[in-house]
Amino acid sequence: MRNLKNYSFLFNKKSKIYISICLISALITSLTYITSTLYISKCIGYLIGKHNVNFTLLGKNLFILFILFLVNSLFTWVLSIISNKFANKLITNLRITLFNKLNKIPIFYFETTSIGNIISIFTNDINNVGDTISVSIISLFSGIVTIIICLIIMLYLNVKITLLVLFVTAFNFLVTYITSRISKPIFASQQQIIGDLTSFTSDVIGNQKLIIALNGESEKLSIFENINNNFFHTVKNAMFISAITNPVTRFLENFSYLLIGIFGGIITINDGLSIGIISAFLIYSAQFSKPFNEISSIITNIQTGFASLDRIIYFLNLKEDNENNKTEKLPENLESKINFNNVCFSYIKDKPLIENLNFSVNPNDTIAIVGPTGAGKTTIANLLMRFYEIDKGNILIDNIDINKISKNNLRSHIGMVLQDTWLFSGTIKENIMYSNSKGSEEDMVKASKIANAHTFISNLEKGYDTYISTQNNILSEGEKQLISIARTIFANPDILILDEATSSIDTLTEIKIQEAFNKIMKNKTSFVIAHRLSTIQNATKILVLNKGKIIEIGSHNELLEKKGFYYNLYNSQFE
Amino acid sequence: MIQLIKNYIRPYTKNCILGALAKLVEAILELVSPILMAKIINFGIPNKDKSYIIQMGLSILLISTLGVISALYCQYSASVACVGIGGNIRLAIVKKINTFSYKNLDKFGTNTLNNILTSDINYIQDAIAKCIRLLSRTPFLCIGAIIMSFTINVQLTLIFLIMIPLISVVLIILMRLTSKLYSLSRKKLDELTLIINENLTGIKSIRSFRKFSFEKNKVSNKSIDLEISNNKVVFFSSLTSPLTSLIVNIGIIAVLYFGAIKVYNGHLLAGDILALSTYATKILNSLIVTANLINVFPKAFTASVRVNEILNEEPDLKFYDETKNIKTKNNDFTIEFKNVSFNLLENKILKDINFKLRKGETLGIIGVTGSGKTTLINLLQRFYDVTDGEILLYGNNIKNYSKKDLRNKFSIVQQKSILLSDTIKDNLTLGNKNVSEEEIISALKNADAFDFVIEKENNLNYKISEGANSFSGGQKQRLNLSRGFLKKAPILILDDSLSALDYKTDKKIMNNIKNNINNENLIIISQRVSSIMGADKILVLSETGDLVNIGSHDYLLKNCDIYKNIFNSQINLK
Ligand SMILES: Nc1ncnc2c1ncn2[C@@H]1O[C@H](COP(=O)(O)OP(=O)(O)OP(=O)(O)O)[C@@H](O)[C@H]1O
Ligand SMILES: Nc1ncnc2c1ncn2[C@@H]1O[C@H](COP(=O)(O)OP(=O)(O)OP(=O)(O)O)[C@@H](O)[C@H]1O
Ligand SMILES: [Mg+2]
Ligand SMILES: [Mg+2]
Repeated sequence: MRNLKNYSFLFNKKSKIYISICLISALITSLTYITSTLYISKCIGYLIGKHNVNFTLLGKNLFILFILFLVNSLFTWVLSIISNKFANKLITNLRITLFNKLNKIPIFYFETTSIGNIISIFTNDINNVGDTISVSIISLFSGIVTIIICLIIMLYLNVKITLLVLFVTAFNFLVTYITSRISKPIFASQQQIIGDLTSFTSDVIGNQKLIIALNGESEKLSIFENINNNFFHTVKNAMFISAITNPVTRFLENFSYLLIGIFGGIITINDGLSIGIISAFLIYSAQFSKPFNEISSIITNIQTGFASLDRIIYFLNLKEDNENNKTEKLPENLESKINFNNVCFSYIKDKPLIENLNFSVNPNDTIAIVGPTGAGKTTIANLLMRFYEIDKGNILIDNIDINKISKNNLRSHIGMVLQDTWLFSGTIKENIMYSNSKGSEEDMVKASKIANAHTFISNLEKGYDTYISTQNNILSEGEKQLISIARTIFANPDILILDEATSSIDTLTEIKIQEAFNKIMKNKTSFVIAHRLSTIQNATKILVLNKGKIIEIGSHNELLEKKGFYYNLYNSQFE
Repeated sequence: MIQLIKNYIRPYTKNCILGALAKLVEAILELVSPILMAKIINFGIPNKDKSYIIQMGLSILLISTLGVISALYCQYSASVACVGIGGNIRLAIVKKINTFSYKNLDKFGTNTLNNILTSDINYIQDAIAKCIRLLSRTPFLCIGAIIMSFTINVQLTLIFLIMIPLISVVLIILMRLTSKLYSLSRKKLDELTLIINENLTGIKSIRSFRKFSFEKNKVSNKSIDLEISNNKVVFFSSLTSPLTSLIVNIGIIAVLYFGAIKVYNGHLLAGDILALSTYATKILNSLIVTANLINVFPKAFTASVRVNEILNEEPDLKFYDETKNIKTKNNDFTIEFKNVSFNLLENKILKDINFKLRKGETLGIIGVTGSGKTTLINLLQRFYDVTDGEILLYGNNIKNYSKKDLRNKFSIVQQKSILLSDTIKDNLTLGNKNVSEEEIISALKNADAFDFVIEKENNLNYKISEGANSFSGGQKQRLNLSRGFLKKAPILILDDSLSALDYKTDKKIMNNIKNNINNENLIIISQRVSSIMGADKILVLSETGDLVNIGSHDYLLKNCDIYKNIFNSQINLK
């Protein structure tokens, strides 16, 4: 059995109100529904024959009937609105809770999990849970009430036949339960093929431009046809299985109707009961079994709902970054002295990447990190930003271990331009001003001018209000990098990290950026990861990294004189 | 929507019709068994005839069994038909997307296309299944019940005849209302998905700027917005079922009242009234099923509008099926640009570009950021059509080539490295399946990528995760290069594809290309003079999209100031 405690987080105080309203509405709808049946037969009872109809009593009862119908419809509506509202509210809360969780999961998780899967938790799974809740509240609540009332009436009418009805209903329920058990693996394979389809579309259709360029359309089409065919066979079967329950329960319902007819009839003959009782039984046993049918028809619904909920809970239980005990704070006026002491790190256990890394950076220095690709340059930046936790050693800023301060505090002092440019859908202005909620528009233009982005932005028809998105690629790769640099400058951090920030930018533009940079960087410490000489030759210190180790360290001229790795690296280009 | 389904119903027409027929049979049987039950009550029990009761019981059992069989058949046909039609539509969309140009793709955006292929089609599928399963029954039950009531009393049947159109009108109005509201909330859901998507792809940037609470607010606001909008939909859509039952129930009251008058006047018996109200309930039950069905339609309608938009989109580029008038005489020039200009969204991106490239020559392209380098090679491969002028490939306008022939002339390594979430091998052979393992390995070696691939578990079968985050920037680029090499087209284009590599690796790969890769022509876009200085011709583009100058390295050093400046900014090492 499921541990219901696991799901208690879904509900809060307000849910009690919603649930109570639902319960009351369900009670009222069921009551009115059953009484209205009684009143109809009562009204028919007044129609005795020619010139023998009591119109006053009939009128009165018809009026009551009208009120019953009205109340029934009204509360059916209320029940449906409130249960859906409740489900919608729950979805919203769940979505916000899930989103909150995103921030607490280590970066590592996102680099190894497909984004499509996470998205599907936020959309599909949440929706499934919502649907299940709204559907099952309606069916379960009014169902249970109806069952109880009918049971009471039937017991009142005849115990023997009631037992017969109960037996038949239990049998019905058992059958549906068994079918739903059997169908479980089919649903699992359905989930799998839906996942395949989704990842195909997000991956291939998402990169259609690449596919076009590589002339891979026909090949991808044949893969898609394959998936589409599998999808057809699996989903068709799953759909059929889930659609079986309904006719089968209806058959069983007819079967029980029949059993009641025959055995009820025989009991009536043997015990000398009236025909009225048997026909009443037929009505009430039908009303009694209806909720069971409804519930059994939503069983698959509930199953998918729980499966989705389990995925959500799995996500919510993912291990979080531990941010407690990070009590120390970086001083407001940071000197920005940085030390790496015996730092060891590996992405994959037993495959050490960085071993015993030592270096120190004086305040206001510009440090260039160079080295062959895959040497671990980006990794060093990642460690300083604490995107990953180091395995051994420590990293100090102004002699404070960055492991003892919160990430928030740490990152408020460091600005980083990532190697992979990321812009979001929005105007250019929103993208640049993103990094600093306090900056003014003037500052934004200033930052853009430093990043040399102002000219091309002004040339756009709508200037800073141009809408950009991953969907409409209106910027060249270099222009995107310029915007991303402007964004980091706008943040005005104490420590700056540029990870190949200018790799797609021409050198003339880069020199202009550098000149503007030098002015603002006077009182800041900066790390520059780059290959281009023009970018790094003015650095105070150059770290030459190879295979996770520092192999040379010094200024540009010192390293050239050494005629070592660095010298070779840079001379190789004009050989 | 109906048109859409009509177009894609083949070969499932049979399933649709037979499925609906089977449902009809089931409905007829459903109407029959109460009559037999009435017989048990009316004759069997009063006469204490147990064998009669059992006999009738067995007939009912037979009928129900037939009923369940035809119902199961209906369910099966419905499943086959709806999933089949959905699959047909999905295939048609993917085929259509394959004819799209970059412009078409930009118009819709990949996010929308993905949503359509997954959720929108599901809604349509759902609607089809429900139609077959439930909709065929409702009219039959209504008509059957009305015919039965006619046999009892014509005047009272009029009540039904008023009731049914009334309900239809109510249902249609409600459906219109919810349809509109629904497409609104659908849009909001798309927006929300986009935000979450961007939060996942940009997670490092967002964390580095500490914008999480900002994003959280954005998501909360959008979620609440969506909730409100969903609640509006619910307000109207959940009105359908109570409103229909209220109308039918008022009908029942009317039947009882007017029936009473008729009974009083001696025209009818109480039993007739009972029968009439039973039929009213039958009508009600089937109408309520229809009313609930109506909640499915707004979704399906919205979905089919979106699907149609894709299917009706005219591909922006027209290709011939077969390449036309290929000149047999040997043409010396691989590529020729004649007065080529290109505008996008009113922006003049390239202006009056003229140049020729001989067979065997290497072309370098350099120019400031945003000068149109990428655009130029996009035009060459006909991802966009030129606004003015023409581009000749082997002396023949590129518009005369079939798509396949044209694209097989080029191997492109794009500026932004993209790897699909597949194995390394599948990624590498994306442009060309017919390569042996040795060729893959040699391509990897030529791109200096072999060493790090061999270190990954399963080597070539290493599964790359979305975004390829476990590779460094330079590693991604080298995998892209290997893929370009493996396509083995006569013209190899490198669009700034060595930018993340150190000079040593850069040099090594350039040498490998020179010595080991057999391409007729090489086009290199680069910001590094060292990468292009060996080219036979170098195009220098200005930021306004003009061709400033063209020539060899030595020529440009003497005659082109921009080129000289770029060169000087990079060379002062020695
Ligand atoms: N789809 C588009 N719609 C509108 N403008 C575009 C579109 N694509 C590119 N542009 C504009 O065209 C100009 C040239 O872009 P292109 O990508 O060719 O530059 P590039 O020379 O390759 O630059 P980079 O060195 O940065 O890669 C840019 O100013 C860009 O903003
Ligand atoms: N998330 C990860 N999981 C596993 N391995 C990783 C991950 N990120 C990087 N690596 C590996 O760590 C090594 C160092 O990567 P890093 O990104 O630091 O290189 P880099 O010096 O920045 O290279 P480049 O110049 O190409 O950007 C590479 O071999 C890379 O494959
Ligand atoms: Mg890197
Ligand atoms: Mg470009």
